[in-house]
Amino acid sequence: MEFGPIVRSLFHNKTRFWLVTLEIALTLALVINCAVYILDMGSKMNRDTGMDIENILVVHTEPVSPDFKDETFLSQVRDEDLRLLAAQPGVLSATAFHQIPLSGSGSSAGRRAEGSDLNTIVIPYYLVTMNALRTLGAELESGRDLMASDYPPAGQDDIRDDDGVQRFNVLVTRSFADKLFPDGDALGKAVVNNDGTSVQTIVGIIKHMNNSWPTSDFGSDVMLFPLKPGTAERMRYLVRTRPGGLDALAATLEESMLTTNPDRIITLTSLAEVRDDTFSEDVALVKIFGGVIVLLFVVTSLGIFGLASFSVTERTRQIGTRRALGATRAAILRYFLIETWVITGIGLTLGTGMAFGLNMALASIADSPRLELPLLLTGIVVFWLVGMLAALLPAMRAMMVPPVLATRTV
Amino acid sequence: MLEMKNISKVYRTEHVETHALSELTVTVEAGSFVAVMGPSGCGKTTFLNTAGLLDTFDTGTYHLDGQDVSKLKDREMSRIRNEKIGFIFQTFNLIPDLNVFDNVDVPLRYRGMPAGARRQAIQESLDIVGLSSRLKHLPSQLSGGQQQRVAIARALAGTPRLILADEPTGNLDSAMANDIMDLLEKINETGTTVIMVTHDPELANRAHRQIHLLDGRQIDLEMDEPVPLAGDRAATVGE
Ligand SMILES: Nc1ncnc2c1ncn2[C@@H]1O[C@H](COP(=O)(O)OP(=O)(O)OP(=O)(O)O)[C@@H](O)[C@H]1O
Ligand SMILES: [Mg+2]
Repeated sequence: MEFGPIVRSLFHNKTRFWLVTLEIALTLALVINCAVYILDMGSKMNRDTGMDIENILVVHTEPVSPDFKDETFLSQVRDEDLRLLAAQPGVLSATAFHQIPLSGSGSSAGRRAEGSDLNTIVIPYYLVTMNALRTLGAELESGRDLMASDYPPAGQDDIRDDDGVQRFNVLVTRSFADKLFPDGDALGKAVVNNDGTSVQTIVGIIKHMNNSWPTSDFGSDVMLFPLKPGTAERMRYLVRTRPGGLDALAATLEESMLTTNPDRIITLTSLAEVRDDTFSEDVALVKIFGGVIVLLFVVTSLGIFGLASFSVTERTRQIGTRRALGATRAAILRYFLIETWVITGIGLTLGTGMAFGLNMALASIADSPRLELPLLLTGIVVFWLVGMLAALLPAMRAMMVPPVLATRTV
Repeated sequence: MLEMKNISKVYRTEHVETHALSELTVTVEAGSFVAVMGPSGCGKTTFLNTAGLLDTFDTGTYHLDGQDVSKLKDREMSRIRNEKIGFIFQTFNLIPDLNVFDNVDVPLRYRGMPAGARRQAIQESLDIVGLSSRLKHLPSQLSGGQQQRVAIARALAGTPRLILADEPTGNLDSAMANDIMDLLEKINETGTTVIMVTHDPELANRAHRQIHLLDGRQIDLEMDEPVPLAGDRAATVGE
């Protein structure tokens, strides 16, 4: 209603307003981009891992005896451990892994599709004993699981053909299969390393599971390798229990395993804990970004509050005059709210451009997610409300200025 | 037009009570031009504030334009100020960030007049004060006399029944003061009641009637000796 004069009056006082306008713009740009990051992280962390992580116990053993340097002894202990683990009450399945999914550390190799000109891509892989899918709770989508015959015969640690080329049957995830075989016909096809000395035939496709880096953009690419893992330094097992059986197992497991072989240190965690550990830095960052958002909102609301307060104090006499000329209290309140509304609006308009600019800049230096319109609109609405709230107190003070102030000569 | 009976107004601060108006009884006929005089602190501004519904009073009754305005709500008083009264201040009280046009526009917007009617009213009242060529000027770009003329245009634009002016020439030299006085007379001739506080007896003499206040009361000069203080001040305020 009084829009025109309010804006014209604002523009006579430009210098005073541009600072807060700029502050609002910057805050919007930063807040929105922090929120983009938080939402993206949140959705990545909440993604389905494809595994029954709540019911999987990670058993980490660290041998302290030189006996383990002997391959035969090592493999004997591993077989004994696996038998023992599988025999524990409540246990569904146990498998030895050379690295732990979701843990943030793992191995990967370059592979390309045999007979195709598609580029080599990096594939995280795990050396596993039998029953890996059952232990993980991952689903086989097509083909078959690994069998005893896929593993090197006893006393042999590799499978090579007459030309010395390493040949293995493997399982891969659908996500990886589609990258090398975009037509969806990966089953039965082979992948090779760059110099062709290692060939793997895909005998089964896993519907979905995460590798060691679940938030990366190759987080669902996995290859399971039929090679028995374990070294003189460490041996790792995953043990899947029936739902809710994990704690009971963990309570007695260390003792039972030490009975088999006492010369080692045993550490037990759940796979869910492993994941939380891997995410802890991201969670901390999310918290920091959340804090930054709150802080920016507080600082900017203080800025808006300060400006509105100053604007009211400085114009006390003018308010009295307006009241004398017939302004109702409501009209005065409206005046100052509209003024803040306009300032915030200009700031938010600038800020929208800056938010997109910053988002594109971030995307060009690191692979960060895109800013979506609904998020921006939510930010703008929230910000506008915060701004109005910050201006409410000063505006109410203005409203209470009595008309008699117009004639006071001091 | 204006009928005050036994109006009292006390300002209380922590230590003192000031009886700004005590049992003041004043009647002003519609269409008259009244000058209010009296020594400093005698209650002239307080009287004008009360008359213009800028401030409340403690006891007494007040009828404005036939309406009892003693116990109105804030919103109703705002409406009466806006529609019936035009204020002219000693310090002009123009809004510094608004140009001449927008300044005159202020009370009209509070009245909710449509844009076209507002524009016409602004033009007409600026014509009357002779400033229709200065629409885009800011108050700071005008002389004191011009600023007061804009203020008068602002008071006039809403075609009020009553103009209240508190020492409208107090901050102006005598030539400009005379111009302003001419203007007020011209406005009064159109039927608008004018009440003006002044220290200048010459200007006061041009009014139809003079009201002399002393310590918050009206005194009758025809019975008393002339109040010397007013004269003394006039000598310094006048030429
Ligand atoms: N807000 C206030 N608080 C306390 N006392 C006040 C207030 N306003 C006015 N007064 C007192 O009331 C009395 C009348 O004041 P008023 O301003 O009406 O005088 P005036 O006749 O207009 O004087 P002047 O010629 O100097 O303008 C004075 O004694 C003044 O000190
Ligand atoms: Mg006064």
